[in-house]
Amino acid sequence: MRSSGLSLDQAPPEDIPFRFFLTAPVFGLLAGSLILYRGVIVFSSSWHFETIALTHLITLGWIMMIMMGAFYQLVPVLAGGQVPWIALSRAVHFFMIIGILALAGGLIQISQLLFPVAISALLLAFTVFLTQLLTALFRVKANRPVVVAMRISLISLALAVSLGVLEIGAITGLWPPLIERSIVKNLHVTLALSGGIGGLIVGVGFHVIPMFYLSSPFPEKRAVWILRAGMFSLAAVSVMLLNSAGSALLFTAMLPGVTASIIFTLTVWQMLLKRKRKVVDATLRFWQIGLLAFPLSLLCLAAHLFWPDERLTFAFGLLFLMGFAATITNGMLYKIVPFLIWFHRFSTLVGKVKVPLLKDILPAKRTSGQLLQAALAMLTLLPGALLQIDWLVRAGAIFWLISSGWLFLNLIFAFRQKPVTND
Amino acid sequence: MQTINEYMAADHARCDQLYADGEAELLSGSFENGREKMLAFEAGMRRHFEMEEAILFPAFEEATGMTQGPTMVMRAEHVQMNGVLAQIKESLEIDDPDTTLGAGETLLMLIQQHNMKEEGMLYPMVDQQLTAQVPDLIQKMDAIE
Ligand SMILES: [Fe+2]
Ligand SMILES: [Fe+2]
Repeated sequence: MRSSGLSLDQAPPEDIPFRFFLTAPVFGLLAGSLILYRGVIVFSSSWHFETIALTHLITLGWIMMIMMGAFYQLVPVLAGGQVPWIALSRAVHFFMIIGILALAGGLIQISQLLFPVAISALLLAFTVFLTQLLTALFRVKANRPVVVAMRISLISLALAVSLGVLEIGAITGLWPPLIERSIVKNLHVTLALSGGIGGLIVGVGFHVIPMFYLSSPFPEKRAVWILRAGMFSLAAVSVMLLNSAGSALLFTAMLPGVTASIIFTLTVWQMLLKRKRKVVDATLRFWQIGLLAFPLSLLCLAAHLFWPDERLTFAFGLLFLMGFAATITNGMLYKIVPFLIWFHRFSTLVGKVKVPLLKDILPAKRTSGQLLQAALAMLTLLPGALLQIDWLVRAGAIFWLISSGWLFLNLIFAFRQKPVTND
Repeated sequence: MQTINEYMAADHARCDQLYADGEAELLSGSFENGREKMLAFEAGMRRHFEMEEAILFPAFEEATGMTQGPTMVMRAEHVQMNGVLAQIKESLEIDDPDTTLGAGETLLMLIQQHNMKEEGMLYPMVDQQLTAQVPDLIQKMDAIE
């Protein structure tokens, strides 16, 4: 029988998601330090090695870390699948850290020898992660939109990682370049950002807004349409890029995906406005900032096709990575982490002893302060990069450092909450 | 014909609405209205648990022979939710809206992930494996006060 072995209690051990979540702000601190140290130089060319290092400290170190922890945690709840070989997730986390540090170290030219380390560690981490999650997700029979979105995300990530590895190998002379560098770069970015990151955030967004704020559900037919349009654009843009198509063709290929993204944004915004709960918390604000940054980032991307100014690339990168992805993942941590602490440590004690509530595990005043710092970082880095003003960029780096450090301390605060043993 | 998933999901939504109403009243400072709505929510939740524990789960367990499976986990989560519900009721009795709201937030997270699992897995399994009994089950659950 299909349902045999189905247990609804498949949550991973608490240390697995937490080790990923706690690492994210630490890489945020490294990214902020790099911007502070180098200033506006990191926003001079998207080919600049330090810029690539910075990008990966944020994409792999922050966003991917939270995404991995979230995948392990959410797949059993949202998709109903069991993630196999769960203990290996600890090794995934370990090799991700080694891989990201080696990659960033190699790129800021500490030693060329770090590149082979980065390739092996990242390949190992991603191979295990992707095998675990794809096994779990393809076992699930239900094709709910969130399951489809998660599959798109994982497959895009697999392709993006392969391209990335191909590129590091070519740079370091481990093997000859197979495809032209600019094609590899554009494909890598498209797959990682729109497919990998966008796919997961959109898929999770279908469910968490109704869950947290009791809004109406995301219309299922619209969700299916959004995912189809996104997949179509992802494939079409990839084909166009491989054939070095011109701007007009690329724009046409992007159009269904961009339209779908805008419809997603407007739908979620509408759901938030009409939510049944009137409560306003930091997570809600993080979502709103992310949903504002998302269409703006796409606007910069589209503009860049016709007006190839590097500053538009940086505006896109900042808005998409820091404004949209890092912001929304940050907000999600504030819902998921206190709940997981409560669930793992206190839920079985309810009724027996006095247990803390979510607001005691992570008080609201701690989260709203960090939100302000994150917003200030965005508001200074963006004009700093666009107008190439060094002191503004460095000021932005300081806000970003404060924001990352604050998030780290908040997570640690929550993590320290333990039942009091009275003996 | 209405499925178990549709019928039960509608009851989840009804309870959600009761909670949202109560929370909105408490946030706006009208404690009396808030208490009334929160008590309605509390009663709604307890009725929902009874529908499941007295009618739906036993029918599922009998038909599938699975007593240690999903229903066991769902029952255990009901126990946890009942514990927080008791805390909410207590805080309403001593006029402590801060605790009511805090416990409400905690309970809501529990409820939402619980309902997600029921609507995503358990109810579809009931619909699939107990198809012929569905109208009868709904009628029995409807009769609960
Ligand atoms: Fe239940
Ligand atoms: Fe239920």
